[in-house]
Order: sequence, then C-alpha cells, then structure tokens
Amino acid sequence: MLLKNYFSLIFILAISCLGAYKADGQGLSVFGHPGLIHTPSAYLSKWKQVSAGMTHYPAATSFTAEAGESPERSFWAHLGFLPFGEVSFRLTKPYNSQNKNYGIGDRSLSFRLQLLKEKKQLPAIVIGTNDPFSVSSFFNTTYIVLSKKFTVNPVIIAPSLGYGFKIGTARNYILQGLFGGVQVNWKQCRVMLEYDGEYTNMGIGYQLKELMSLNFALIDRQYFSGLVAFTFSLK
Amino acid sequence: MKYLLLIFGWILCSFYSMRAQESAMILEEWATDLTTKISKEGYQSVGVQIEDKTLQIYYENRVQRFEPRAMIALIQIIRASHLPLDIEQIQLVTQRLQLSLATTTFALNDLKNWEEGLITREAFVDKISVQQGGNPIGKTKTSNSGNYRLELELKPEIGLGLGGFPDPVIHRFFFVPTLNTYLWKGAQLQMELILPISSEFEIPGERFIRPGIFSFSQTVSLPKNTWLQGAVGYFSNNRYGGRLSFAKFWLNGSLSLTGRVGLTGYASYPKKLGLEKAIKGWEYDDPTYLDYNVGVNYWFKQWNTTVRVVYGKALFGKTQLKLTCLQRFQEVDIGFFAQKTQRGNNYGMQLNLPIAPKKYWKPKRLSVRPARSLNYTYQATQATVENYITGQSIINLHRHLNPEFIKNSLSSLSN
Repeated sequence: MLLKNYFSLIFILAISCLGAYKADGQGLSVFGHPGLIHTPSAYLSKWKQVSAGMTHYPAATSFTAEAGESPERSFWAHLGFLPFGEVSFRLTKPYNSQNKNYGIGDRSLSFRLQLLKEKKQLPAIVIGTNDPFSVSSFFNTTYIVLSKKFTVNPVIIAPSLGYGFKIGTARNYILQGLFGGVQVNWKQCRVMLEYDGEYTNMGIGYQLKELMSLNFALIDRQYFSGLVAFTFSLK
Repeated sequence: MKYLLLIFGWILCSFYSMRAQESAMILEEWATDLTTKISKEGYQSVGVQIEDKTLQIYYENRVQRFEPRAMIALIQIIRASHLPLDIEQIQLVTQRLQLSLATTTFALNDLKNWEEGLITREAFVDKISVQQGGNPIGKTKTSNSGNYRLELELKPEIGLGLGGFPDPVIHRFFFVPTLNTYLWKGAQLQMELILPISSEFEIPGERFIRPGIFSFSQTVSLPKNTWLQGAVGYFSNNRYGGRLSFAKFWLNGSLSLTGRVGLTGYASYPKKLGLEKAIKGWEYDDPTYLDYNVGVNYWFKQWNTTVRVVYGKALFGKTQLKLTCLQRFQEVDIGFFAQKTQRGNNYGMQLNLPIAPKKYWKPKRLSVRPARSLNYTYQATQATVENYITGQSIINLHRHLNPEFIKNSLSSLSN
C-alpha cells in the first residue's frame, strides 16, 4: 500500500515535470555530490557552487543504524572547491536517535578530483574518496568512475561506470566493486537506474532552474529515499 | 646691446622660474586638498606626492573591512577630484603598520576611459599593475596618523566539541574585546580580555574572566621582500615568552618561505570570579620550551587558492606536518587540511566568514569596531596538536594583499 503511494507520488511529479526545457542537469546523488542515486558520476559541480540539502534514507537500507532499526537522514553541504575538485560534508543520524545514544551523528567528508574532462571521444573520469582517514566511518570508499553523455534528441543519456575499493579500516563500506548506472535527462527531469554494488535502485529527479533539486528514489526497487537541495554560488 | 640682451634674458628666466614655482605651488595645494579629502573618508597615514608625472598616494585602511573595496573607494575619490594635466599615472601604496605592502599602478588615461565608459571595468583592471611591497613614503608629510590611537575590536570566539548523552554537541562562546595600539612603524601593542559568555566544556579555567593575548610586536621590512617579526608578551594557550618569525616572498608574492622559532613557558592567570577569593595565584614555569616551524606557501592566481606545507614542533613536544589548501572567495575563506602528528593523522576544514558591517566608523582617538571575521576550524579526529598565537603574523599582515588577489577582486567586486 505504502509502495503504491510512493509510485503515485513519483508519477504525479513526473507529470508535473513536463514543463520548461533544461537538459544539461547532472543531478546530485543522495550523498550530495554529483551522481545518480547512490552512485557517483564523473561530472563536477560548477566551481564556487554550493549545494546544501537533506536526504532521507529508508530503514531497511540505512547506513548508520542497524538494518531495519530506523530510517535516517543526512544534512549535507557540497562545494565546487576548484574547477577540478570538490568536497562534501555530511551529518547522518537515525530518526530514533533521541531514544539512543547516537551522539551528534556520523560526520563524513568526501573529496572528488576530476582526472579527465569529458571530450568528444573520451568520458569524464573522477576519483573520489569518503572518510579517507576515519576508522569509524559508515561511508568509507575510494572509487574511480567514468561518465559520458550522449544526446539523442530530445533526451540526453548519461551512463556511468565505476569501481570502488577499500582503503584502511572502517565500520562500513559502500560502493564496493563494480557499480554503475544510467540517467536520462529530459527537460528539467531525469530518470535514473543504477546498481550500487549491493542494490539495484531507480529514481527520478527534478531541477528547478539552478536553485533547487528534488530527487525521489526506490532503493532496492522498493524502499523510498528522497533528497531536497538548494544551490547558490559564491562570488 | 649686450646689456639689453642680458636684462632680457634675466627677465625671461625670472618669468619661467615664477611660472614653475606657481605651478609647483598649485600642485602642492592640490595634493594637500586631495590628502584632506582622503583623510576625511577615514583613511589613515595618508600621504600624497607627485614624482615624474606619477601621483603616489600612501594610505592605511581601517575604515573598510575588505582591502580591495577600500581601493575602489579610493579610486572613486581620485576620480571625483580634478587631476592636474601633467599627471600620467597613479600609484596607490597600501600600507599596514606604516609598512608598504602593495603598490597598485594604473595610467590616468585608462581611468578616464573607464570613467567615460570607453572601456569596461574588467578591461581597466586588466591594465592595472599590482606589485608586492612599495617604496617608503620618504619626506612627504602624512595626514591623519593612525599611531597612538586606540582601536577596540569586538571579537566573538566559538568552539564546538563532542559531548556525551543526551547532549551530543557541546559549545563554548567567548566574547573577546581586543585593544590595539599602533606605536610607530611596524610596532603594535595588543591586549585582549576573554569574557566567557557560555561554555559547556568542563575546563574550570575557562569559566573565568581572564587576560588573553597581551603582546608587543615589531615587524621589519628588509630588502628583497624579506620580512622579520619579533613578538614578546603573554600569548594564547597560556604561553608567555617571545617568538621570532620571518618570511621571504618571490614571484610577486605568489611563493613564500616562512619560519618561526619561539621560546615560551606556561603561565595562567588566577582563577577568580567576581568578588570571590582567588582560587590560586599565578602559576607559571620558566620560558624554556622551544617550538619552531618552517613552511612553504604557493598562491595559485587562477583559483585564488593557496597551498601551504608546514613542518615543525608544536607545544608539548609534538611534531606536525600539515598540508593546507585554502581558497579565498572574496572575503570568505574555505580551506581543508590534512596533518600527520605523533598522535595520528587528522584532517578537517577551516572557515573564515566576514562579520558585518562592510564599512566601519571613521577611526578617532578611540574607535570601536567588530572583528573583521569569524574563524572556525573543524577537526575530524582527536589527533590534535596545540599551538599558540602571538596576535600578529607576517602572513596576516599581508592578508588580502596578494597582488593577484587584489586584481581578481577589483574586477569582480561591485561598485
């Protein structure tokens, strides 16, 4: 029943997206950096652009709480620090943290560096790392990802493929092994399908100019996850 | 006939000499008038001199929060004054502590073209040359000296830390009034008082009103862009003693080598609150602890970003190797660092946010203004090392005065 409601919501949103045209949106992953749902892409935010937002994670696939114990949310900020590098900061906490001693929540830093910009024949390449030195991280990974856009009027298809591995010791690892996905941008909307190394996820996104982003996704094709983000630029 | 020629020659010489004197007097009057105008806007240590068709303006800015904005305001004052015809270029020599730190040069024609809308501001800024340092002012009289005046800076300090259940984040908030006095060229006296407003940190000494930095520093500019600074007094982190710092700049300020060596001891103030009896008196040890570091900085002009590597010995015998990458978004600094210490690796971020307002009251005998910025450093792990600050540093003295940063800021700032 709940799942039906989610699909209804997604459907209504998709219909509402049939508006203005803006097909270059790369979108943000639930972790706040450019990507699909869980998986990153090899595109970067604009230099000096700041995004801040909140993500909801479902209980069944939560990162910091025991599986099924509680859904959780992240508050995050992302900065296009250099034309070829960016950084994100996240604070993740279960909704039921009032009842248990979760402390401030999990603090996580991500760094991404673009090795190659997308060219006519070549894909963009990014290496990224989450919590490189922290042994208590729930989001530890180091990865390399490739992305390439193909224009098939009126849509833009952007597949990404990456590989994640472990560096150091951590409590939990994400994006391990081969991961990848494809997103299709049409007007201000995007539709995503991905495999994050553990689950197959699907979702849609909506971009309101360069100000606001909304993402809705089904993790493991059944658990609802969502993101809302606001974007502005430092001079 | 010979006498007639001599008399005629003498009359001609006198006439031209009088004309030259008159012209010099007019220029002098005009320079005095411009000096007054600039001083009235609150700029200090203002000196105007004309040399070889170049108008040189020396000034110290304590009225605008952001140095490039002060330059724009100054250019507007110059634009509004009727410049003498024989001036071809203008030099703005930015000073701090009466030390010349940056010289901005532009042609009067370019200024006029911009004024008349013939070229854009970007094109005008492109033609501007900014050099690190500058010639000393020489014998020209300065107006509105900043020396022996009191400047009260109202500074907030915040700290956050990890607490326990049920309060996961603990905080501290201090209010730190700081009194600065500029004595003579390069000399500064700084006195701080720390007023704890609220603190959840369980450090007894932090609950009391106590002295902060109380230091005297002397900065000297040596030839070839080399700087030396000595500081003595009571520093932050309960240290007292002395510290000697140096910096050498190359590539017009883009590359620098810095170093410092300090000899300090521990000293803490009596922990006394209100009328209560002091819990204990001064506690101190001998100033025999030696700390040092050397660092290299490089400024990437295309990104307004500095990368800094520092290695040295901090307090309590800990060595530290720290890499910092900091970008300057106009007045906002955002930086990231990674460090290797004997206690382990650490990384984090640092923020420097400007505090309103953009413009302060014109400085008087005693002036009051808020701090220019609020600093916050986030460290991801507990592997921290302790350092102390003396209140002034050569790098801070040059803050916002990197020639490339000035150029980038002048072209992007709004009027």
